[in-house]
Amino acid sequence: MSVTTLTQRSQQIASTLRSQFVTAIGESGVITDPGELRTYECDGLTGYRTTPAMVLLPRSTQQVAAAVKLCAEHGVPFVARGAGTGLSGGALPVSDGIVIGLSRMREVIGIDPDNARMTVQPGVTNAGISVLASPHGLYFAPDPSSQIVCTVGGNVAENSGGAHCLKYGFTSNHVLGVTFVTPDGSIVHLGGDNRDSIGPDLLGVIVGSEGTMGIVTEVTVRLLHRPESVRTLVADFASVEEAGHAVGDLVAAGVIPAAVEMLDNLAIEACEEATGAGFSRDAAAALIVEVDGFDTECEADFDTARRVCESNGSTQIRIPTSDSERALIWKGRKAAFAAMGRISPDYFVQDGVIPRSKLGPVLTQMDEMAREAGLRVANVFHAGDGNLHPLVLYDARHEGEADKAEHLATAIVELCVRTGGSISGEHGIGADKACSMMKMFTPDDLAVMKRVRDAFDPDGICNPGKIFPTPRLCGELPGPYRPHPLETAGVIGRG
Amino acid sequence: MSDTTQRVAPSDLEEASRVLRDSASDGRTLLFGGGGTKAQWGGIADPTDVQISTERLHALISHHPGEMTAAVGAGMPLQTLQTQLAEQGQWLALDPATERHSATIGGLLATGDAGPRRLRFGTMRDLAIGATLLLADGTTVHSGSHVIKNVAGYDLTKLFYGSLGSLGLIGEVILRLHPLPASSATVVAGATAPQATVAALELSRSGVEPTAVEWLDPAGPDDDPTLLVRLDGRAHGTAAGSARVAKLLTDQGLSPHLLDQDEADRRWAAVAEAATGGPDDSVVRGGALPDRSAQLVESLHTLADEHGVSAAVASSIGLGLHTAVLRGPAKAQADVARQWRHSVEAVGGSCSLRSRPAAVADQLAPFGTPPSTAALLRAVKLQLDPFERCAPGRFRGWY
Repeated sequence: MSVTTLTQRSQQIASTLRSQFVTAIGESGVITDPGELRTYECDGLTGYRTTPAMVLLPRSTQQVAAAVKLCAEHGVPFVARGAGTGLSGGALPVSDGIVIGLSRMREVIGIDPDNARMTVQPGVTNAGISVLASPHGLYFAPDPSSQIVCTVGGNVAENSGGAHCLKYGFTSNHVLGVTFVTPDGSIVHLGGDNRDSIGPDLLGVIVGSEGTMGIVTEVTVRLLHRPESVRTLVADFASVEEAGHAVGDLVAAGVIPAAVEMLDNLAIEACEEATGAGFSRDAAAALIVEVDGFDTECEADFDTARRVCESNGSTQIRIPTSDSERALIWKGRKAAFAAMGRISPDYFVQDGVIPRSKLGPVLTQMDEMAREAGLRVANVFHAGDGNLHPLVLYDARHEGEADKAEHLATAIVELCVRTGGSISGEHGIGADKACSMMKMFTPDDLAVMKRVRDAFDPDGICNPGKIFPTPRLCGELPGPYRPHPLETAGVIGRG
Repeated sequence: MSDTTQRVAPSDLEEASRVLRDSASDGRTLLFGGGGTKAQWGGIADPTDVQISTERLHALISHHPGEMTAAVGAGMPLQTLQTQLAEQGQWLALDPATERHSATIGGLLATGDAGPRRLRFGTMRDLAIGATLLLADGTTVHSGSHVIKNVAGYDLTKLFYGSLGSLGLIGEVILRLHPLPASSATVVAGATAPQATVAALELSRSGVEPTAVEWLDPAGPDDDPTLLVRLDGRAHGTAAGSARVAKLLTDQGLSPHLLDQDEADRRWAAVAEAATGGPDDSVVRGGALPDRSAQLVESLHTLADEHGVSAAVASSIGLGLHTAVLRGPAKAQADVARQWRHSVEAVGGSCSLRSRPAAVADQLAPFGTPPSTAALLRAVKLQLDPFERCAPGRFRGWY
């Protein structure tokens, strides 16, 4: 499963190329000590581990380009890495390869409040952008649950979403331009000041390409003005089906909510244990509905949301009366995954998407599947856009339970595809789901994606082994999910 | 089109794939077309051996009102689609000027064409969530799905956004839909380019969230430039919003008033008309940062005056996008277009040509300075269309 000792080739790369990388980016930016290398052996998908031959920590576009050029000259594969919070193994190192960590590239290059944009290096955190934009009444819309630590470079690679993307879109809708180092070490600029890009939208392909096309070294993001009004409610329901119907009715009523999140009873219990956010422990399901926008419209949307929840049998509706109360609700929601540790020793986190209208039947079917497997499944998800995050709970100490749990997790995501959905809404394919790509795409689809990849990276040295199914990869299975230390500490969440 | 051009209108994707496969056997060149409203955008294609029309790929394949998605054949005219979607109280949130002229969904994706309300809803880049694409060799590729949130695989739909048919044929498109607004309101005010630029920036900060902020500067000496601000939503929402917009514009020293529905429709039609141009006009599209708008409009007028050309401008001024319609002697049109492109590029923007009479075509390149990604664009082109059979000439000078 994991490779923890350096291979001969790795040692050879470290010894023969070290001095050249030191010349390119300086002594302090080159790591070859085996102990230090292990820090980089996995990302948020901790079941997969590979120790890289070397880690580079450049500070500028030029240094990244110089490092990549050396990799290209010597045929050494490289993997870009941000904060390492990704959940699909997108930043899993390649054995005998190099990790290019962008954590030291944290400069803010420019803030342009009039034109509502900001240019930053890729190591700036997602939340950091909004903090910097805040004095101007602006913010960066994508809000993955790991936003306190995850980097904007990682957001670009994964096309990160978050709770508010139903209304506001994903990272790809909020990136106006990037500076980009191609796998041969060239520096190019994509996007720019003209909102009408001319020619095929390469930027749109790079965002979400999971680091397989090159390395983004500067990002210009679009900032949004803070909405005038924000209203939030938490509605309890006696069944997840009723909560699911409420979501459908809300959208059918013409409301595009800023966010609609659902927690089932297991998830509510875990969140309450961990954060005491005030969810009702006896509710079968809770919906967090948030609407925002221009005052008058927002109030009308909020009334509609409340009415829809009531008419679908909501047993209780709680409306936070202060910003801090609203923040606590969101804290509870975003800590949901980490909170699972309170109710189960181990769990797999899944990320699938279904058509919103099939929420009820899919949840019922998942329930049956879980019962058949003799396992519990907690559900926390972005109900508004059908993005499910089922958490398959198990105890690794019980013989065979991990395998059963993994099979159930896979069966759930395959159920998502059968309903016309997707194998990933926001966590990405990475190393984790490459083998599931065949469930969603034809061999021709994958072959054409591969041709596009070849246009960027003809030698296949840029994050190889990700996204595309390969026999080597698909022969391996991940180990049990272990939470990121920051997640255990409640600093970040998932989904 | 040459005299020997073979015209084909396949009735389904299998037939389209077969036509493409056949054309590959003897290396025939290909041009794809929908409503034909944007054949002049960018470079004009060289005559090709085969012209494939999507006119028979016009079906509404599926519409899921609960999901707010629909799948359509690429040849579906936008206007027809809007009528069908309206029965369920929904629409594709796109209002391009070409809608009245039979623009199709495939063509809108291939060109990135959009209208005033892109300020709120974006373009096909944001609204197309999946597509079925056919490469020159007939290979059929699927990208995306019926769910809005989806990060599985590369987003090939976006790759074809703006590709002008140079990478392959768009066969079907899956669209994200929006609820039809119950009410619209439009506030109008006379405004110079500098006034409109400042007002647009203020409006974006105001919290009112207009769906469109357009500035129209007709070329006629008696026509005053005007700023149009549109709100869509519930009746009391647009009423409250338009009152706030009017106050904001008054505070800016303008004299706004609310238009009644007929007058609003007439004004928005005029905006669409202004962006289109006639057969003897050159139409240039330029974009830069929104706060450069006044400067770029001024530079256009200075150049137009110098060369004896009349220049009408329709601007999505909140986004820094300007469509300039140039009328006058061919050489003068070309000179103004070329020099204005330099001005736009000098402030970090870019331009492309959307239409020109034949006499101007010889004197004016369709695009400006090639981007730093030209080599990548060419590499992608050669991967998907290795014999360069699709839409030869559309990106002349770039790849």
